[in-house]
Amino acid sequence: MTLNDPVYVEAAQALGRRIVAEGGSTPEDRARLGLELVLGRPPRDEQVAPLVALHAAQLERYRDDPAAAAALATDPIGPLPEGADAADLAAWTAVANVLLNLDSVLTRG
Amino acid sequence: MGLDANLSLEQSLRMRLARAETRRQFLRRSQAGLGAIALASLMGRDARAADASPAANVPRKPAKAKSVIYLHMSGGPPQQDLFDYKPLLNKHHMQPCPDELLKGQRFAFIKGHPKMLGTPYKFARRGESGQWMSELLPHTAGVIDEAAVVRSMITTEFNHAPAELFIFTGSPRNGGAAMGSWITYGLGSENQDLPGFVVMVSGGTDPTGGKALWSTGFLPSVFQGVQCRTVGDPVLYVGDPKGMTRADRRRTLDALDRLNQIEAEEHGDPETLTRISQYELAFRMQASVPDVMDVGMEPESIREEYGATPGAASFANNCLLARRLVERGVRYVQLFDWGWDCHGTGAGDDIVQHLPQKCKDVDRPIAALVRDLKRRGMLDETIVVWGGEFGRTSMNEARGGSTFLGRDHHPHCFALWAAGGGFKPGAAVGATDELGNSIVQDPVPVHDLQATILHLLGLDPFTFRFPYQGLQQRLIGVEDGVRIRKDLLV
Repeated sequence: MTLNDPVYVEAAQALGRRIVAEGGSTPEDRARLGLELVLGRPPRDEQVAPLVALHAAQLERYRDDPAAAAALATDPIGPLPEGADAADLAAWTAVANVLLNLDSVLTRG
Repeated sequence: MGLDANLSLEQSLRMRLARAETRRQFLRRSQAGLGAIALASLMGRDARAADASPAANVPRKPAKAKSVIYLHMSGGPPQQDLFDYKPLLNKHHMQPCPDELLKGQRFAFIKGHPKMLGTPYKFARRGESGQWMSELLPHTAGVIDEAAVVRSMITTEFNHAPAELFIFTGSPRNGGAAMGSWITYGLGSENQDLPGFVVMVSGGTDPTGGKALWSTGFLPSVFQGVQCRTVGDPVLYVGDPKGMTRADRRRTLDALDRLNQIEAEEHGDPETLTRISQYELAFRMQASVPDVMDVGMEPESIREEYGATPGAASFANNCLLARRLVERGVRYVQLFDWGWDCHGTGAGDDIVQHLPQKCKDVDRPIAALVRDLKRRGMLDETIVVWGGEFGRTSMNEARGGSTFLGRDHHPHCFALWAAGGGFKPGAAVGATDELGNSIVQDPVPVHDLQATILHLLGLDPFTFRFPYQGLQQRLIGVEDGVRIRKDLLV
């Protein structure tokens, strides 16, 4: 199942890192980049909102649980990039896990 | 996406736009022409494809049976050593095969002029019904009175994959829908937390026909068979990643559902809705599957009866799990046990050393399953089928001069039994000639067996169909001549 397959999880971790590194500074811009990377077309606002909300909820939750944050952000992909925030990367990993499981991604639209 | 050096700026931008446009977007914008094709393909789908409810337009009749457990011995068990007693064949053991048996025949492996191969096993009449069976299946003999035994099954295929596809999709070619998919499509599932169609494999490898044997084919994807395992995770990747709790998974699924919903509203492809419902089923399965798939939850006396061991990848475990699944409302459980392809190329696939071991692996669990279902009052409503994809030759294969005894593939006759759910206990249907080479009485083609199973489940095999590629597809094929076999029924 592509939500939990270790290959998909690692890919989500890598995608989360790329979104943070290249997606600008706001969660909206980062979600937008994520959508464009996986869909290959410009995203629409209604697609961005659920991802921004998910990121906010997960960020809050991972701030309170550093161990879980570290696990989701680094296992198996490897140590955090220098200066990275584990809770933020964990939250983006969760978002990227959604992105890689979109019907339009798994089914060639 | 960079600009192509050979294109003007405008051409380059047009190219970029064209690349960004997806198939779905293109079809949506084409109001006529291609758009109509898309519409036709969508109309062919059931509007309720998104959940595992039965299709609305399926012709249903009063049913005897509710569920099916299909025990498939992948490779083709040798009927002459198990159910089809041929004293004359034994008499002619190692004598040259009569010419008329070879005329016009193609064999998968036999070359030159083969010798006849009698059985090394003793036969006797078993049970009240007096079924002829060999000594290799003593436990099955104890429950054989529950079964209708067919000694005149006939198929059109003499290689494993096409023959298995034929049995399980009604067509020897890839692309058809599995019997389990047809049945769950027709009847739905009674347990919303478990898949309606579960597959388990033993014997060390998948059946030759591969995962196409439990493919949903042209039916909505939600009716796909789900393979469960008895070692490690019962379903691959059923566990969430480290650092993700069930609440985290719920929130990610909510976001995923929302985005897929947007996609579905925009393009109207029912397969998108199918994907949403499959993710939701998977979420519920994360809670329900580890429990139902744990044979350790069964009392020791039951495990002992089946010969089941927690954590083993065995046919015995799969039989016990099949009962647990059907008990919880799973509609169709398909077991594949690999290793019945008794060619006699060596000790690993001969009828003297290998076949008795295979029989030992399955005999006790099969008998336990039938008895267990009966004790629980479930056998009346549960069809249990045992069989292979084809039979084996009455000639010794002797591939490359092998001195091990074995039989080649043989489509013209094989044995199979079906118990429970309205199959007639003690019935003995069909007969082969004195050498066990061809059928002389009441042939039962594969499509007849499928029609009979559907009939017992309350599905009219003749009008139960699905439009695809210009044909009214049916499990029993599109051609006439198929019969519900009253001789197999109570």
